[in-house]
Amino acid sequence: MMWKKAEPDHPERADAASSAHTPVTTREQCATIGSSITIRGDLSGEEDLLIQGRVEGKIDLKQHKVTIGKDGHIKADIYAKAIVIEGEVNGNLFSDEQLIIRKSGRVRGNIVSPRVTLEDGAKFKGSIDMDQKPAEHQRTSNEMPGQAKPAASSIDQIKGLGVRS
Amino acid sequence: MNSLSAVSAEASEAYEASTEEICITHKSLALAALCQRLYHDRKYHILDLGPALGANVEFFSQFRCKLYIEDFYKSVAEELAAAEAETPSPEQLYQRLLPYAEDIRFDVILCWDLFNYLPRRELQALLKHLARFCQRGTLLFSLVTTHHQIPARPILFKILDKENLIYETDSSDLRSSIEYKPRDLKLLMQGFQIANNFQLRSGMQEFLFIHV
Repeated sequence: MMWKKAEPDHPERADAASSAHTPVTTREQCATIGSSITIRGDLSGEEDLLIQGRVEGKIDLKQHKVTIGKDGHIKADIYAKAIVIEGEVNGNLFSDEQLIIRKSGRVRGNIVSPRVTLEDGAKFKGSIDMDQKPAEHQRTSNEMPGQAKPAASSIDQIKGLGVRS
Repeated sequence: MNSLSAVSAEASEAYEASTEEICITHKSLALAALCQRLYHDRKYHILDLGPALGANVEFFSQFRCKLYIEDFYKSVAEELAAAEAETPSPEQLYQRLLPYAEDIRFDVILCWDLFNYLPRRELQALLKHLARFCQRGTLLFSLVTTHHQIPARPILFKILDKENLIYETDSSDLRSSIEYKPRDLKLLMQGFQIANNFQLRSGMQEFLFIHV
């Protein structure tokens, strides 16, 4: 589904499965999903987004920044220009520019991003690919943590083959 | 309860708790030897069996690599703490914690000081499991102590640069080490040869093994 900033009198519902009305608000030029909100389904849009609630499905804001707040709980793959994780994410993360996991962040999944920053205290399990090729996005999205399938590498490409004991 | 409990079934919170920490800089000749073997123009698949640390992620970002991170010791401790009826065998546990696809092959495996905490049976099982994901030339980096007493939990090593690590150690909480000798490791490391071995004045032995 497309996910847009709400009109004041007609707040857009993010999904029929939302636990209540979905109060979409702006804060510092950023749309927010509040901590009492649960969304099941695909989420897309054309502005930066802060999620403090729960999302299960897929989050697609490729041209924008997605922030998972401290109260955010995500079971979804996230596609964004930049991603900041302060809460909990179980899913694969694809960022075109930068991904930051704050010290309060907990991530289980595979990351594809040219720049990744883990603050001390951040929890992470999975893989980090900072050398992504465009074609790898789709392939990696089908893999779970620890199950990625890299191309086999050759011993001949490793420098200093001489073995000494 | 099998001998896996020796790994420690302590709660994960305790793993992070430490009170009397001393920060130490460690010149790592084996890390330097490892880095000398890495080119910047090819892609590597690196398995880090320590916790996810920003400094280490940043260090390896200078290479084209895909970094797989599994905080092995902590995960084992959590699994054992959560095991209600029957403790899983090491083979079952490692299969669950490191469930990589059959065709994956790592170029580098970072074990840090994990060997000091794994009794022979568990270390053998881990190495046997990892061997499935090794290829000729896979490098395995390991730090083995010669001290009788070691910190109660594995040390968190942060990479400062290609030949320096920094870590904090808690001298108030110690346990007996397994004290593997080089000949023990030679027997245990089936399929590997020692590429580099450095005995440091700190009492730490650094090993860079290569899969042959």
